[in-house]
Amino acid sequence: MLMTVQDLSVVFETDRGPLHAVRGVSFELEPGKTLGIVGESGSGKTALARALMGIVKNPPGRIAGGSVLFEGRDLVQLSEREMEDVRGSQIGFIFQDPMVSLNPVMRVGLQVAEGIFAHDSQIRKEEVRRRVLALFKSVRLPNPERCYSMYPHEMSGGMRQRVQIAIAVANSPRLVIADEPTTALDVTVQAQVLETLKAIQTDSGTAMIFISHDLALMRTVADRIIVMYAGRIVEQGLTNAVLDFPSHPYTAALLAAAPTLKSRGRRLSVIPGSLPSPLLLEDGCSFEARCYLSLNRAECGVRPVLAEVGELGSSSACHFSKEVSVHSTNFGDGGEDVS
Amino acid sequence: MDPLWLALFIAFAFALTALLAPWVAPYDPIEQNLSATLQGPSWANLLGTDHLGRDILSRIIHGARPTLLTSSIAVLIAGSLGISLGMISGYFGGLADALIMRVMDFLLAIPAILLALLVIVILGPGPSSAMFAVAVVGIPEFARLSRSQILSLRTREFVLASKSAGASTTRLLFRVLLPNSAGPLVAQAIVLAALAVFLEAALSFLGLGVPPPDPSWGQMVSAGKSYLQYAPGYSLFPGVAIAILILSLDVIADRIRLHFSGDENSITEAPTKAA
Amino acid sequence: MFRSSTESANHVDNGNNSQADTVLLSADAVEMRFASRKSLFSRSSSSVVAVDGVSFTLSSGEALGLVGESGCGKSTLARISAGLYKPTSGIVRLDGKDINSMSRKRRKQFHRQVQIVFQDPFASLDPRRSILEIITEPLRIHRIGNRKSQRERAIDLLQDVGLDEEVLDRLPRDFSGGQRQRISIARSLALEPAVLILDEPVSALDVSVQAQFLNLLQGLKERLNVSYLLISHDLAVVSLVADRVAVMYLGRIVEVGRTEDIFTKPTHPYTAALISASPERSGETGGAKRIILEGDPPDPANPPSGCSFRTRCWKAAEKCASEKPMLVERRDGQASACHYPEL
Repeated sequence: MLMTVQDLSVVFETDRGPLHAVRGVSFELEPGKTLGIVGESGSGKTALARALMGIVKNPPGRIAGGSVLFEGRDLVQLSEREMEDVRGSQIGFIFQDPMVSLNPVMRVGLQVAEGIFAHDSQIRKEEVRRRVLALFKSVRLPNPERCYSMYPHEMSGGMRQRVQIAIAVANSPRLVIADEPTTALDVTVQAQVLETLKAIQTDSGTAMIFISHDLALMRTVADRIIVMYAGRIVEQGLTNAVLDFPSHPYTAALLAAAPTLKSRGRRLSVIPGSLPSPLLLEDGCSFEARCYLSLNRAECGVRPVLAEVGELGSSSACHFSKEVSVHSTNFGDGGEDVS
Repeated sequence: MDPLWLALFIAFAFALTALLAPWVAPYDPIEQNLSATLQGPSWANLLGTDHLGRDILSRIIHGARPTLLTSSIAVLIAGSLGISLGMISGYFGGLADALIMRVMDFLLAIPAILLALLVIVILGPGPSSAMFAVAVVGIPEFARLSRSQILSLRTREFVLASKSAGASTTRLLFRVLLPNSAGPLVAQAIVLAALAVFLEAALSFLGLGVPPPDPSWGQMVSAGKSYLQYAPGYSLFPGVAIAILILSLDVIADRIRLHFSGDENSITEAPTKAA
Repeated sequence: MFRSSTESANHVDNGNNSQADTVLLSADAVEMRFASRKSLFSRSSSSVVAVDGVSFTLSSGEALGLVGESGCGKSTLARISAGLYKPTSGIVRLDGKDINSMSRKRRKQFHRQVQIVFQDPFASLDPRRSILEIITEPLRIHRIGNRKSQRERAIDLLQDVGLDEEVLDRLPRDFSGGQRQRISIARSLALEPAVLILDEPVSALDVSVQAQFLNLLQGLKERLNVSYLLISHDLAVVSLVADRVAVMYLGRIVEVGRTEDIFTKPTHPYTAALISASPERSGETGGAKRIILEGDPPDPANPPSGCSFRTRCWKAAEKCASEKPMLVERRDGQASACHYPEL
């Protein structure tokens, strides 16, 4: 097991009380595999990503509990210095908006070089340059020589994202964590960048954690996925199993709410209500108020625990997971809003 | 304690005393008492007397008047003119913008006191000239500020939405763009007020403001400089008044700016709840 | 209906002759050129052609979708159609009259008929005004009704979009993205416009919020018989609401036709690539091959000669570099601009 996350919690102290962004999340990642983390805004996926990267802003945030075991070490316990060693060499990162994560006043070639140099101070300049050019080639940047001396703003979004990928894999990390890497890109460019990512992964056997709000995207990217809601995992399993045979009402509702190219003229199913406030730690199921399956049954007053369900190896945190079907017709009604 | 409260208190106290000077001051500010000149602070004269036996406290209280008058009127003139020019510049762009901004740049290139003196030279000395001088100093910054506000706001979608609903240019400028620029402009007004206090004092110090015997802070500081050795209070007390007022105004201006830049951020801040 | 700028003003038959559809809004060879300096030091200014000779017609009760990726000019076209920008050439017409040569008064009338909803829910509402003021502003601009009737109308509009009356006295910052978009729609409906232009209305919203909003759009269309010009980069969103779709690339329309046709039988390679790249692809239709385009989207300031798509097209041949393809009707109601269309 490359990474084992156990009961991870992230809390933000606000002046209205503690905000529970991530509540006891656990999962495992095998070497070379891709794990997709899916959730809407407020699901806690961003906070989770930050916690894994060790960049939760403290204050006001902090890791309130749990462990992140990576190659035998608990990342949560590491000092900042030790974490710096890990970042860029054992774990690489790709962020959503390369305009923000790339240094605008530094040529991109140098930025990649910096990453290499940071973890190998003995390396010779020519060797670094050679490696950067090789990296640029592997991320399919056209004309690597020319790209080396370009500034971020001179490149297109797709090219910048490739530079980020290059930085992330420069030191052959075992794991790459990508936080919404293609959300800001055009759809055709997104397809290209994802192809590149996949190619790199297959070549080097790197594992990946891919965070996104886009369920459909996961099919082409992830081996297994985790669906998050209100800071917790509500369902996890093999991608196709979860997307074709969801066993949690939230997953099913989310799938039904997404428009497809074939949904013309049809009303989309809607998830009524809104997220519960992350300031509260309620007792029962956090999805109950918006759940079409709950029907006010008493069991929902008790928080469901993630348990294996069905024969496809999925786990779901729902008392009625057996009743979940993506073909259910009685999802939430459209239009009513709780303002 | 939050210094803002102290600053606000001082500013209000100043304005109040200036307005109610004749009733607040213990003595007539121009009444001379040649038998008690250059006295230090005493029970009779809390801040002492000047070289003509006039009560310094009363003169300081009355001296607040020209200061208040000059700053308010200067800010009013500079504000209305500057903001209008800035709006025209920012909204219409083109030749008008280029012209207006070049003039503003020119004015800004001249140090404040020099510019004020220039205006005084043209208009002749006196309290009203001082007002105009300070106003002229203040116009360019207002123009630049409102121009940049307009520039950044005019392509925002809520402005376009009003435009697409059929709003006329005047309506857009005064009902939509201006109110949304108010924050930094108000802060600038206070900053200018502080500068006005300083400039008025400087001009009066040079004898170009309020003529004697009517008191004004700058003039008192100037008159008192000959007596610094044995009656330092003469220059010191009005000087301290100037300093305290400017400081208070700056604190207020700073807070206002902070408050409004925080507001700005909340426009783009996304709340975390869905639907 | 769409046609290339050099064809004559003839309807391409959309196969639906049941009633004479009244054309409400139309664009005729609209071009939008932005001047841009090449660098801080260069004197010469090159121009970026954001919209390159686009024509379309929007009929009453029709929903027209405009899809394309960033830089294709769809947002610019939307704003030109809403009368917010004046095109550098070409004419936009409402009820047959050129909107940019209208009198002030007539122009104000135009704005009553054509309204626009923007993408960013956090920038579309005046942060200093209450919701009541925001929604009734169009009414006040056109002096419709008095305070009381305006307030009542606001309440009705809010109801139409599924929001409660108590929302009226609050400020935009109290609301989430989805709610703000609804408020935007409520405002745009205040004048009972014939045409609603929606510029990426759901891109900033979560999937579940998006669903509510799209349902709302469909409902409003049915109830109020409003025509839509719906702009989006998301094919699925457009396919849900639009009757007809136009695909844009670098300022030109490359394909247009009925929604079902476009998404099941695209004739332009770019359309095929777009569909293939969409995460939620056509689903059950197996055999749709995975198309990954080569290269990056071209620089609008420096478009390729001939067909602007040729640099990424797997079919590109000599003709594509020398001759610009025109929109040609392929099948009943479907047209594309390509020398080697997929048929």
